[in-house]
Amino acid sequence: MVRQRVEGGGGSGGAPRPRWALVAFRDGLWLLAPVGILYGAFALVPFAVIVRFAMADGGAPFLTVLRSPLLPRAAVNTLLISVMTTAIALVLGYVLAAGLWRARAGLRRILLGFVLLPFWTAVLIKNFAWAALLQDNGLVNTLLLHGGLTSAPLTLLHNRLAVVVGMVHYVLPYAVFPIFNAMQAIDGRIERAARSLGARTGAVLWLIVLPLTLPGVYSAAVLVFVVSVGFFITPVILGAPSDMMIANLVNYYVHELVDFGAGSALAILILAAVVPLIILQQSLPREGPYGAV
Amino acid sequence: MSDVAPAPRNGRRVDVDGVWKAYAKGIFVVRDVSFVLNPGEFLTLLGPSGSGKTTTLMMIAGFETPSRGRIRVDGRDIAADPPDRRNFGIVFQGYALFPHMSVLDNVAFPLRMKGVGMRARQRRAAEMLEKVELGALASRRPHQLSSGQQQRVALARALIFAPDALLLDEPLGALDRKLREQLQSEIKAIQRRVGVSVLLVTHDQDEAMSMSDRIAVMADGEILQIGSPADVYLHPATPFVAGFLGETNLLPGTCRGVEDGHVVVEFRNGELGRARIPRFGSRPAAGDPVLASIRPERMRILRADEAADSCMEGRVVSCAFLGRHARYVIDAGHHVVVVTTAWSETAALAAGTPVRLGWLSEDAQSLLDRDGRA
Amino acid sequence: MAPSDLTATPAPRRLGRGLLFVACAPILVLLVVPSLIIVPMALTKGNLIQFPPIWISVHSFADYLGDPNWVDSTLLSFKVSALAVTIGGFTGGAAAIAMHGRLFPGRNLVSGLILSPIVVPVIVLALGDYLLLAPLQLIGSWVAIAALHAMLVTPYVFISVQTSLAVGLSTALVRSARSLGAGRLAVLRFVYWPAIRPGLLAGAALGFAVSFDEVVLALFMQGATTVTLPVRMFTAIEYDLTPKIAASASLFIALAVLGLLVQGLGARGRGAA
Repeated sequence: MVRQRVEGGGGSGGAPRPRWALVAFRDGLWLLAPVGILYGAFALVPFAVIVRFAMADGGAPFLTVLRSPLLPRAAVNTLLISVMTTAIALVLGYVLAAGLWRARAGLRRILLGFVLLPFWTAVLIKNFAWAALLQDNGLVNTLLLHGGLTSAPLTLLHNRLAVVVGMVHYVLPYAVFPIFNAMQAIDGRIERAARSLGARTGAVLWLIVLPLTLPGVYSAAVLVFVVSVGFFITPVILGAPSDMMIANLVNYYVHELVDFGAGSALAILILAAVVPLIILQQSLPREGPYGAV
Repeated sequence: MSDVAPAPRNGRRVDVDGVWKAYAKGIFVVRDVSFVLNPGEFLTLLGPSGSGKTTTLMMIAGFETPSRGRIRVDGRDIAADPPDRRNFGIVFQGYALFPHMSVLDNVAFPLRMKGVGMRARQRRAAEMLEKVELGALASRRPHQLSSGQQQRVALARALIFAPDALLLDEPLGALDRKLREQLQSEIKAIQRRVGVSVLLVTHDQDEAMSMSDRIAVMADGEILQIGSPADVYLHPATPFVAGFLGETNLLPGTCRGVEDGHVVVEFRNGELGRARIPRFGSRPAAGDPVLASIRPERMRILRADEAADSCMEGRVVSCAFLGRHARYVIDAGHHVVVVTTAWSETAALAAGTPVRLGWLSEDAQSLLDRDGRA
Repeated sequence: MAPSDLTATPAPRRLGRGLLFVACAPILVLLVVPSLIIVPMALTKGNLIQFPPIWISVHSFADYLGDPNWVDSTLLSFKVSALAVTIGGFTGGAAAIAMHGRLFPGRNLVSGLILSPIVVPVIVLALGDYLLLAPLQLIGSWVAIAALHAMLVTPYVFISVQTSLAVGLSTALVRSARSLGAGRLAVLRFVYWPAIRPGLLAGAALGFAVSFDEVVLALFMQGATTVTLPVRMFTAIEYDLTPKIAASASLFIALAVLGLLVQGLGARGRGAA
């Protein structure tokens, strides 16, 4: 979504711009009602319910949660796993985005297909496939054994490694697209100018492309991180019980301990941590701080 | 040129030799283009969009590869050189300044690519900026500058490493006329001072005429004529060139003979007139279809007592006052003729007035009508 | 004059580009392999999940289709997703039309809110809706699941339709239609509807996949007879890994490939990529 730069026309100004500009469909605001009703009923009201449960007894559930022995573990897991996932996804995502950017139309479509296939595939299925691949007699171990790289099957499943692998696999498309968009936004003439001034590919990448795509990288980083924090399925299928993440803890409170108050308090804490990041991500300029050149 | 001392001539000779460019089978964007850019010369490739001028420039710069032909710098074929090894300074449309670097870093960039140390290159860049009078803006970002200032930065950046030639790709395209004219004189002044050769690509013939030593008029991938502004304006080689440089009346007729350096033309409305044989381009022979090119400012509305080498009868269709002059549209039988003349309140002619048009044979140029434009 | 025998890109550029694609290859393999092994896994003769499969047999598919629970779950998932896409298509499409060409302070905020279901942790939504709907006896209602899924579908439809409109419909067109006397509904029907159709289709396809694949909300909302296919698979994976799962997983792969094709064809039609 292109942020509209509002510039007073060069030189002598005309009439002051009306604040409600370019209204195409003047009476159309009522079309926002359906979304409003849907979200209001199933997101806002439930949020109020959560708050009510969490604030029972003057906020006692918060204390329960904060004193829980499981919270530090779940929080640290979530943080570490999300950071690792984000870092790896950014690096791989940057390479893929660059490949997409440089590919000509036909090849690009094929590459896009490769990137989008996991996007379309259910997370459950992806995790299931990874479980099958990483198990002791799975494909990865088979290849390692045959290749002589190990003498015994490595434990690749039901640990943090597997969770990170599964998560990187899921978030990679989310990392690729903001970066790819940032790359496409670079005016081709800038690269040509750099080359004409003596820059070889390395210099172009390091001095021109990387700085100009940095906003896209930040945007991707926040997006991937926020998505990672909310993961539920992957830790269950690919991780050990000790790899429990924050969403699993909520589920534990609700379905195992049947403590709705504590679960709600935890949910609010999660939101308190995540919403500022979401706001940050939405407000990051998409084209970089320089506008169009 | 009224310079006291001869202007410096820097740069190397660039030879474009029989260059063709095809994008798909049989679709040629550039056909057999050949010209020489001499050191210190200002040469313009002038033509409408799609004429292949930008593609030609891109081939010289190294961003496109010729399908056929050679490009040489001081005799050396540069085909194997990638753009980063060709020593040309390029100013692109929109200037292509690096938005994330300061003006100083922009100008210092080519020196950085050549391995010049930071202090040295920043010093030289600062000096360059002083030369273009932008010293105070060295630490600004490009988007904080006006168009004119951005252009000067782009030029400074392109000149700082003493290129073999300066290549300008329609740098003034999107600007309004006053700003364009101002920037044109700036470019010209810088060029004269530095003495570098310039190849300008543009569709604006005023721009071409005001800045160039020579103009190469291009259309459909071919060069139709190369010459000084006076040559292409006063002695166009083809009807297209005549029509593209300024406004002209192209009156179709048949050649009835050649006498005394002039062609006698029988026009469609039956009248006879004389026009010079073309200085460049093919000579008409008797029976050939020809066009007589007469600029509106050379066409005269004769007073009752006046005579001229060639005359035509007609009737005024309209008159427009354009400040500098008046523009009459005259219906002369099969022809519509445009005449521009000094404005005089009392002598303004109303629509419907019968007039006699006249011109001097020297002011009319005959051209072979190869495409049957009549 | 001999024709030039130069190739299109100078050698160093080709080398750099080649290296780039070589670097991309393993990443792409990584992305695609999991999806590719599902069907072969389902074709195994044994009762264990293994890849590569030892023998080829279709007994896993027979098991899957013969188990009434699993078939019911499959049909339920289709039902839920169909309804979710219908609702989500309506909300997302209407929102995109409402925002079309409209500049106002806070526009980015509204857009952000509409897109928020993609980033907000689903567990929070799941918990809140569970607590809200349980007292209302709506847990286990497939319509409730569909309504929640509609929230997840809306952002995708919104983006997709917004793109369609940005590309295919200028605000000038709408204004000229109004100036020619078209009322609100006429504008919607004759100007907007044709323009949003491709975006609506693409967004609905993606939304269908999102809803069909969804686990967390369906998990919290499940009832005795309202178990969507992903939830059933989730439970099965936790306790009992049989080829039946791979067989039903193949259905998901088929959906994914279908969706990809639809998207690819749609992009070709728009001349994108």
